[in-house]
Amino acid sequence: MSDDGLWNGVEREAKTLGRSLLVVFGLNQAVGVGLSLVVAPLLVNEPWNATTMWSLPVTVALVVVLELAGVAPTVRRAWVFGIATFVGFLLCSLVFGAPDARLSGSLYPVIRGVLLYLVVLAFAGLASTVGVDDVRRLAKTER
Amino acid sequence: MPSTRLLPISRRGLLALGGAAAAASVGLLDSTWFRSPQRLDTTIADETWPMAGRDPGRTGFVERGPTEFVGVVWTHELDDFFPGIDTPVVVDSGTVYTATRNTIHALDADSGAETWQYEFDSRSLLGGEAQFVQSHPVVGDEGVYISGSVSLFAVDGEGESRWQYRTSRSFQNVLVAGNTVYFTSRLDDETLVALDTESGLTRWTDSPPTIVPQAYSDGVVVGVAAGDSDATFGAVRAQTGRTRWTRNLAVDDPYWHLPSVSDGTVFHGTQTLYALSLADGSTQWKRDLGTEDDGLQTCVDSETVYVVSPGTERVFALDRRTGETQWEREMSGLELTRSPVVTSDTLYVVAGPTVVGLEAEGGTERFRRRVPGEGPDSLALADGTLYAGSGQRIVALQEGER
Repeated sequence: MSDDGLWNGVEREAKTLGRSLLVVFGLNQAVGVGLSLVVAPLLVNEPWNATTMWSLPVTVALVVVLELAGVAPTVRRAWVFGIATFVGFLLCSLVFGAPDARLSGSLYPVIRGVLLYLVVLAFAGLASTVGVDDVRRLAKTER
Repeated sequence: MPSTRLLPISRRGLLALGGAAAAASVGLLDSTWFRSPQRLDTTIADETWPMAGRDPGRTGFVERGPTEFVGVVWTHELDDFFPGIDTPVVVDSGTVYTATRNTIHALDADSGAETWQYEFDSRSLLGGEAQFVQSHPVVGDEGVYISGSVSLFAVDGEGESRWQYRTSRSFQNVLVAGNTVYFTSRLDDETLVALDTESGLTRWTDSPPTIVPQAYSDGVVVGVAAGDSDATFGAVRAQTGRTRWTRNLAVDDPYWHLPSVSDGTVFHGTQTLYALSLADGSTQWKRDLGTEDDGLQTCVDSETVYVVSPGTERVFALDRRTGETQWEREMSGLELTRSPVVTSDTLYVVAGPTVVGLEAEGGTERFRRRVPGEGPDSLALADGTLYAGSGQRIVALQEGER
C-alpha cells in the first residue's frame, strides 16, 4: 500500500472517530438526564455522584450499539436531541417541580422519574425532527 | 410506488401523543398513593428491645429478666468500634443489632454468631467515600433505621438496602414511633422531618424545627429544643409537627440524656429531674438529684420512676405521681447507660465494669456480674436475656449461667 493510501485510511478513520465523538458529546446530555431521573432514584448507599460519573461511558456504549445496529445519527441531530433533552428537563422542572433528589430506593421517585424522562425524550424527539423546512413553513403560516 | 405506513399516525404524532400521555401521568401521579397512612399505635412485642429505652416512650420497662446466678452465655467480638460514646445494642425477632464505625452488624440472639453486615462504604473505583454511622440503630416494622453520614438509611431484616433519605448535615437522634420515623437535620434549612417507614416519603416537615425528637407517647413527640429559641425542651403533635408546648428547663446534652414518657408524664433532667405534663408541659413536681456534669438517666414502670445519678453515686426510686422517695441506694462507680432497664421485680444498673441487679422494691442487691470488655455502656433485655454493648464486645447474660 502506498503512503497516500495509508494516509487516506488514517484520515478516513480519524474523521469517523471524530464524528462519533461529536455524536457522543451531543447525546451525553440526554443520557445524563436519564441517569439522574431514572437511575439515581434507584441507588441506595452509593456515591452521590455515581450517575454523573457513568454518563460518558454509558453514552459511548450507546453510540457503539447504535453504530453496530446501523443507526448512525448525524452530529447535528445528536446535538439537537441532547440540547432539547436538557431544555425539556428544565421545562419539566418548571412545570412539575424539580425532582426530590433526597429520597432514593423508593417506588414513587422511580416511577415519577421514568414518566418525566418519557416526557423529556418525546420533547427532544419532536425537536430533533424539526428541520429548516418546518421553520420556513411555520414562518409562512404566521405571515 | 405508494408508501405504506405501519401505524395510522406519523412519527411526530406518536411522539406528541406519548409525551402528552406521560406528562398527564406525571401531573396525576400523587405521592399519597405510595405512602401508608400514619399509625400512632406503638405496641412493642414482648420479646423485643428495638430501640434505646425499649419503646418510643423510653420507659426501659420489660416484664421479666434474669435475677440470680446471672452469667455470660456468649460474647461476640466486633472488629471495629462505634465512633460515638457507647456501643449500641437492640434486639428484635431473634436478632441482636449493633453498629460500629460504618457497619450495621446483625447477630443471632441465641449464639451470637454474625448473620449479616451492612456496610456504609460507597468507595469504588470511580470515587465515593466512607459514610460513618451517626446514630444508634432502631428496629421498626420494615427493618432497621440508622443515620449514616448525612442520610437516614432503611435496611431490611436481611441486610438489604430499602431506601435512603439525604440531608445536608449529620444527625444523631432517630425516633421511630408506629410507622413514622422522626429526625431533625438540615435540608435547605434546619428542619424536623417525619417520614413514612414503608416508603421513605415525607409525611410532614417543620422548619424552623421546635425540637430534636427523642421520645413519643399518645400522639405527642417530645425532645430538647432545636434552633435559636429561648426554650430548652418542647413537644409537637406527631401527626402534623405543630408545636404543642415549649419550656425553658435547665437541661443540656440532647444526645445522651433521653426523656422517659409514661401515662401522660414526661421525666427529664440533667441535674434537676422534672416531671412534666405531656398535655401542656406544666411541672407536676421536680427533684434535685444530680450534679451539673454527670446528669441523670431514668426508666419507669407503672408506679415508680427510677433515677441513676452518677454524680451523687446514688440510685433513686421515686413515686411517679408525687416524686416522693420510695428508696435510695448509694453505689460507687455508677455509669450512665443509654438504656437503664427495669422489670416487674428487678432494676439493672451499670457500676464500673459490672451490671448490678437491684430489687425494684427496696433496692436490695440481687446480683452483681462483671461483663467482659470495657464495661457495659448500653443494655437491652429481651426474652429473659440481658444484652450489653461493652466496648468492642456484645455480651449476652442469662440466669443460671456461670
